[in-house]
Amino acid sequence: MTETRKISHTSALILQTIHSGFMYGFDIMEITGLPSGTVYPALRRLEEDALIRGNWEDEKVAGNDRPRRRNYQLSRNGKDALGAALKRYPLLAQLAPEKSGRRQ
Amino acid sequence: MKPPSAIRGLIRRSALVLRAASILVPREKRAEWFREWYAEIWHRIHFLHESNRLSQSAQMALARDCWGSFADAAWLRFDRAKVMQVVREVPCTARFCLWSIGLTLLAVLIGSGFAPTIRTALAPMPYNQPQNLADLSFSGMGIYYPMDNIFNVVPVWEAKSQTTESMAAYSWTPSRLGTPGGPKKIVSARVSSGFFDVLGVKARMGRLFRTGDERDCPTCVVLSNGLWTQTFGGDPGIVGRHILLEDRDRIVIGVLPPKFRFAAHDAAVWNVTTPGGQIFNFADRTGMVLRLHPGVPAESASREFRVLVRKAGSDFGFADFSVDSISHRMRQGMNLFLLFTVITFIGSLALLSRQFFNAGAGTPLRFPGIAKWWAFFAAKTLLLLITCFIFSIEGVRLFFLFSSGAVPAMASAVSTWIFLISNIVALTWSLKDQRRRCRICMRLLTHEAYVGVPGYLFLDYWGTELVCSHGHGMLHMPQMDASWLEVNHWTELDPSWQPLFETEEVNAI
Repeated sequence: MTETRKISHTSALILQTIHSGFMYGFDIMEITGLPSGTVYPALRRLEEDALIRGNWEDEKVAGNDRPRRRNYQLSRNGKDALGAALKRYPLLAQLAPEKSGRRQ
Repeated sequence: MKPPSAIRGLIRRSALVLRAASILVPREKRAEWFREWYAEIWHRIHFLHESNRLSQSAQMALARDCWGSFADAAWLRFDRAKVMQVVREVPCTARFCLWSIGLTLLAVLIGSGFAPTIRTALAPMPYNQPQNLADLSFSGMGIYYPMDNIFNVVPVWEAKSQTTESMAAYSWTPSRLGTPGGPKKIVSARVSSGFFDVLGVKARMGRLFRTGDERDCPTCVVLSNGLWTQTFGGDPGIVGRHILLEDRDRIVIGVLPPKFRFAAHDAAVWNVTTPGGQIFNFADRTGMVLRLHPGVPAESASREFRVLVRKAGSDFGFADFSVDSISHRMRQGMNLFLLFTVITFIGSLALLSRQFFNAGAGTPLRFPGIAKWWAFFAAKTLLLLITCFIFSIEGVRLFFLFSSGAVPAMASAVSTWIFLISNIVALTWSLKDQRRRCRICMRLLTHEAYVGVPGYLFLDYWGTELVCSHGHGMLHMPQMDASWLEVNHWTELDPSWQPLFETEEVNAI
């Protein structure tokens, strides 16, 4: 069903930010400049529509020193949707630059 | 790992906000939701602290981020599609418009205590044979004179008068009343002993003033029913009780009936005038109540008093006076206000109809649509005008009562101005709102777009185009309403346009 639904500019920006390697909610907020009250509800909707996948950090990585974080990655549908959104909003890539050292 | 003490409090406070927000989250998702938010906040605070960037502004930004958790939590609780529909669609509907104005009217009514001035003015006069009663009042801003003059003139005029059966003087002033809950600002009135007899009013409890009280009972007071019930809790033993008025001991001899009212602006305590002494008061706070012989007009009494005053010299300073029937004085021009409201309403209908009977107005409306259109406009405008009417009278009265403890004579002028201005604003808004509504579904038109290019003369665009979000039609509005070249032009869209309006951003992710 996601193919028929439009993606708002905000959602496209968030997808592009995640694609650029910023996986955590607060990182996305910092890059996009959007407030938490916008980013988190958008993340929930994108996850619900299977455009992104949310995963909890591995316990071994986090250890006992700090709480585990939840990260987000693009799904196959999400990549397709981002591709379509980039055609609609061609300047999007400039708004969310790629994270340095991100693995391709 | 335990956080450093410098940021421990900040983390605790943030967690508290998150806990409060988590109440909104459905129970089955709550623990995970809190864990995610807490981890992000925890990392953010540590990062800022370790990079030495935990400034005051960073803490403020962090607080904003924490409060944003409420929005996230709310979206998990409520159906987004429905809420978005409510937020975007409902404020545009005609029903919402009518409800908003209706609720404003209700708030004005409740706030003013259900419009006591208007109710009082329109109710039957609570006096014996009110058609024979007249009120003599003075006008003249800031004229200050010894108010005993008016009390002294009563027996002189009464003895010579051909037009009146009896008369009594009054003088009111803001006062301080000692109550069980501390001093209270009220209005007190000083009256001739025959005042209540002239009006033909009986006491609800105890007695009212009678001839001779000036000498025999100079400290006697009568309370209004409102003061007795609200301040003294309707104490059945109030008669004979001592109270403090302006720090002087007074004895209550009676309570007025609940329906009693007088032009002396909500007087709560009535005391009888005492001979001697020079007490000054403003001219517009004093007056006389006259019981005219049956069939004698108020103008005759006015002429008689004018002759008397001319002989008396400058007893009343330079204050001018007027004699009006008591019903006219009590209604305070209410009839004029009502008449103006009706004229404004009819005028608004005429103004709006001008647009729709114009050949350039576009697609003509069909019958059920026309009826709905006019019914909505009439209901909206009428509700607005009633709100303005009540607000301008009761709002001004409450403003003066709260600010100075009394309603001055200028209040009616202020009311009139507020009434006129609020009527013009309400009517302008109502007409503008109506023109910008879909002729079919009554929703506000959206997607405002400028058309044309900026002109040479007014540096503005030629016009604006608006469209119904449900695809019923499109409105072209020329930029200058005064131009005779163009009028608002409504174009109804046929069903072939519908697909264009089905993929609204509401469906967007």
